[in-house]
Amino acid sequence: MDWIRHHPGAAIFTALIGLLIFLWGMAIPLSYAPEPIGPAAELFAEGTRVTVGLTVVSGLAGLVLGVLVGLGNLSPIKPIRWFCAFYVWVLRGTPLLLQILFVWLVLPTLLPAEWSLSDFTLAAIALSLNIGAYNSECVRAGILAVPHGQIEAAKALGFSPFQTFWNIVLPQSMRIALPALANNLASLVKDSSLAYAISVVELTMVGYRIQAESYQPIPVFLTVGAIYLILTTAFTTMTNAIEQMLDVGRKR
Amino acid sequence: MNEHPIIEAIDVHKRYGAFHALKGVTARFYPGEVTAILGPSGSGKSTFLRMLNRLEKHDAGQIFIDGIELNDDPKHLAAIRREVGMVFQNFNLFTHLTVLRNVALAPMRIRKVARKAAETRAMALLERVGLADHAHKYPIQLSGGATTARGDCPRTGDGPQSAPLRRTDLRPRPRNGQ
Repeated sequence: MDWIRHHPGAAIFTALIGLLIFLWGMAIPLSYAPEPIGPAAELFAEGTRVTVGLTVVSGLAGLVLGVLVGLGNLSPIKPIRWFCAFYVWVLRGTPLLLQILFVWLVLPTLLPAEWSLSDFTLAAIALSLNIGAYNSECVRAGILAVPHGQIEAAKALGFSPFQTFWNIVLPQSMRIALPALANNLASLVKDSSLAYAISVVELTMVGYRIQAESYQPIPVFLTVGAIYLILTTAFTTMTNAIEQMLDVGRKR
Repeated sequence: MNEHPIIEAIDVHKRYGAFHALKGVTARFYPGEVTAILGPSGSGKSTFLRMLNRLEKHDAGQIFIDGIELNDDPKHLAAIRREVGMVFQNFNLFTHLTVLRNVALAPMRIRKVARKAAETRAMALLERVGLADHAHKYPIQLSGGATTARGDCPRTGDGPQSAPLRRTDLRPRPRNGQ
């Protein structure tokens, strides 16, 4: 959309405020909807907040993890490379549902009993680990796509390896990696629904429960689907705008 | 001549696998000289220039820049790269930074000049080469000539001792007594 391209800052602000208002106040208009939606408005709102919570927490953790693992995969130190390659191999090669169940059942047995992580936290850990693996490949591709001449120019100016990475390689690679990272975030909004398997009451789980009580799957699932669409629209508006802000120097 | 050479290469060799690119190059360049290195494609001009700030390592022989030997010692390397400028064949301007930031970044990071001071100095240099109007453009928005001029700027601009190296010319400047 042209408006996002020309006013990326305003677009991010609008999408963020819109999302917050939606999360906070969606139960009010929804409560006027006919049966079976209206009476369950507050449940829908609560489930949506859990879904967004899972997305934001795992999205941020997965981004940090993705940058670290993406770099690790390019490390000159072999054991680091092996470890990162192994991580990506396992997390990309097994089903997300299995990973969520595995973390939910196995992680608490490995940790001290008094930690007692919530189902939400365990789901967020599994989702972060999963999206981190996918993000790491986007980050790696972004780093490899930075022309070698840029690194040579930085070296010739006397930049240390870290200065070269921080000032030159990272900003350019993130710009290249961003569309792919945004793709992963859009997937994450919907993949968070798999947390229903470990009894996290997120949006899909709410919809499932309400239709089971009301025997009216059509309006319930249409509502759930519409809410997901609103969420992905808000998130992709923000990522598109960030992309526009970082795209400096590529468009004439 | 009494002066010490600013750049001295002694019996420098470079091999790429079986290909012997530089065979015992010995050369001295004195402060204030302008030197052109001529030769057909593949004769090693770029290899030699790239060697002068160790973008390529020499396999044998010695290179001294202002009396500092060019080797793997990071202190030597930092001291040399801080002073030796290089204009690349295709410039390698940082694509994510404006012209002004391209010129100001190295003084800020390498010489720890404050951002404001570095940008004031960069602006003065851009005015000198007639690029002040382009200061806030990104490299892709520049014409060919403007690109070359910017490529020279940080190198001539870092300090009085910088020695810009072009693909075909070498313009060292004296450091002693300044």
